Amino acid sequence: MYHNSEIILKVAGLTKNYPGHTTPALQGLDLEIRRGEILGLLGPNGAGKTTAVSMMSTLLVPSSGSVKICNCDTSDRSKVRKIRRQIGLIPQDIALYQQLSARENLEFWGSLYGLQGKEKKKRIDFCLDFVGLTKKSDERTAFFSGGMKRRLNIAAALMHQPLLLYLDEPTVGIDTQSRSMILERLSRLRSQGAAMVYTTHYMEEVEELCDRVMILDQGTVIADGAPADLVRTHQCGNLQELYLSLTGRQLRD
Amino acid sequence: MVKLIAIINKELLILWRDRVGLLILFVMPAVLVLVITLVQDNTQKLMGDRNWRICLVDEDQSGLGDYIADVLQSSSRIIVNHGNNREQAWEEVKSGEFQAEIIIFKGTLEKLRKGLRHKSRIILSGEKPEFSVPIAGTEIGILFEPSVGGGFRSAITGNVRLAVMGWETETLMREVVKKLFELRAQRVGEGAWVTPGIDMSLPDLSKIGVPLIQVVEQKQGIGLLMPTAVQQNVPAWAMFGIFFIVVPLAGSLLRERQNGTLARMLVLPVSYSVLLIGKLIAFGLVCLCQFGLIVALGRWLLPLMGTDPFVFGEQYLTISVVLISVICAATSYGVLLGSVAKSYEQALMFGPISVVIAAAIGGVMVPVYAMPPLMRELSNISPLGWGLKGFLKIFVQNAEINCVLAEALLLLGFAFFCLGLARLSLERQMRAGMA
Repeated sequence: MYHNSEIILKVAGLTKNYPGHTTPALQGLDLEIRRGEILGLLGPNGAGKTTAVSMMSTLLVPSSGSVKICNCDTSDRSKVRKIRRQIGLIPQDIALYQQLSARENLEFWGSLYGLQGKEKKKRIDFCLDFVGLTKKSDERTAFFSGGMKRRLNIAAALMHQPLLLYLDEPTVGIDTQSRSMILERLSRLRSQGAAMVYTTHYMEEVEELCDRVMILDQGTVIADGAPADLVRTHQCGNLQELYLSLTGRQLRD
Repeated sequence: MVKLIAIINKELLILWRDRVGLLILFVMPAVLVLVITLVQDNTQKLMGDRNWRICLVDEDQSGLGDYIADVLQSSSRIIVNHGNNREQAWEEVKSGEFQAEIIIFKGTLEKLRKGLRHKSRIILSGEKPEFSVPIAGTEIGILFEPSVGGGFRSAITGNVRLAVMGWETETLMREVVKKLFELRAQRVGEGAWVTPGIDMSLPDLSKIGVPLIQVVEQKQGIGLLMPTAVQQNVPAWAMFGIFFIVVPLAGSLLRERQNGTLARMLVLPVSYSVLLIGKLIAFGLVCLCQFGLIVALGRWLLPLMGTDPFVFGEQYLTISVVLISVICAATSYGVLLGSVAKSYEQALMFGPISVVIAAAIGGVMVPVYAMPPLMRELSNISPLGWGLKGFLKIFVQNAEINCVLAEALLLLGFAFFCLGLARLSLERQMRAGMA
């Protein structure tokens, strides 16, 4: 059992200025995520979502502000490894080795998280079953469908049972069945206490999955709250309408 | 350690399943070593159609030098220049300025005179010669540039020998005639016009014996390596194959950068250095296998095709030092390429081309000793040239570890330089949010 009051991720004044750019990619982001909570991070292309996820996952050093994971500051280099054991990153791309089988991929990622022997095998079996790939475990990833690859991409981030998951558009380009399965599995993880930061362009996923939503545009937060509350407050028909009313209809390339 | 083994295992598994990549890494250098060795084995034997420049160092200043120069220059295709000292002349031979160096050592005339006095006595006395071998240490040395063919060597050595014999005979005759006149004057002074017991006819030249001065082709000194085609090509193409590891290695890094695997790895509780070391070890093991294969071909397959077998020697530690340095340089270059290239296509184009250029400059395709002077200088800036020089010192001169330290350090320095640049590039990309 877990206490859902436990803060897993605390971000304060998070800002990133990329060299050669006059405006910050992200400015003054503040947020808190508790156990079992899913935060949907929305925004048009270039809004700062990936920059935010990169800094929150220790991949990128912030220009200013702080990120605390399980009460440990990510700027404290002595605690980075400890922090990284608590997080799982599911990149937008299929971050897997196509020449390896599903099992071999999970063995590799599990080993890098320090899993060994029976424990590793148990976790591999669990993760394969969790994403419905047990029967395909010995097939090379290169021969998987897009949906299977996406599911395996998620499984690779679950090997070490992270408390905090960063999911960067995990359902891009897959069929309805695989998407449905992924959302169902993520809900199950939430019920087990995992906190998540979920970036997507699919509003229905956010409405179905996220407890809170944060809309970013040009590096700043323009809306923050529960999806239903935000829709009601802004007097919109649904989240999609709200999103377009806040970010505009012009193309963002 | 478990993590490191996991990385090595993963890389080897991926490489094993990349059959085309393996084909490039193993079959290409194997075919190259066979073809090039067989071609060069014959070509080296046929070389020799050009004008020749010879540097003559006359340390004795006795006139013999001028005599030899005149004899040699009677051939319109030979130009003789006088050199100041043998070291400088040898440097000029090594640089390709001259094709041979002839050294007349100091004291040659003095030693010769002693021998001639002795010989003239023998001739005049009618005794059997006491010695039939040259005077120890009286010799003229000839050093050839390694690319000089056997025919030219024989011709030059023969001409020099002829000149020396002519000069020696002339000097001997003068000595004998002088002695004869001395004797005659002595007898005339004694009142005898024809002295019994003295033969005034021409001396019996069969009693002169072998020449007093020997013309000796000397072994090349340190600094110029003259391997056979087999000893040159086996390490050269093995190293070429090793450097081709940059293609799969850079490709592996680029794929990781492009498909998010690198991002995923960078948020692991593992240092990036461990990830990189694991990769370097895995690809390094492949390089070791390549080297083993090419050496085996040189040892057992090439002799079946009519060449000499490759001689590995017994300097195992020295070979290991150079081999590991070469592998470090090659894999680090792959890491650099994989870090700075913006696309797989870029790495795929630049990697092999840069290796081929470095190989050509470094003497892999055409031995350094057969290159023009400018290219010989350029070979000193090629990592493949450093590696090849190290290997040739071992496989040609049986050099020990202290002789190859310079090459090993250059290669390791190159490796650190590449890794440093790769790190800087990665950090820059991370700051820019590209990794």
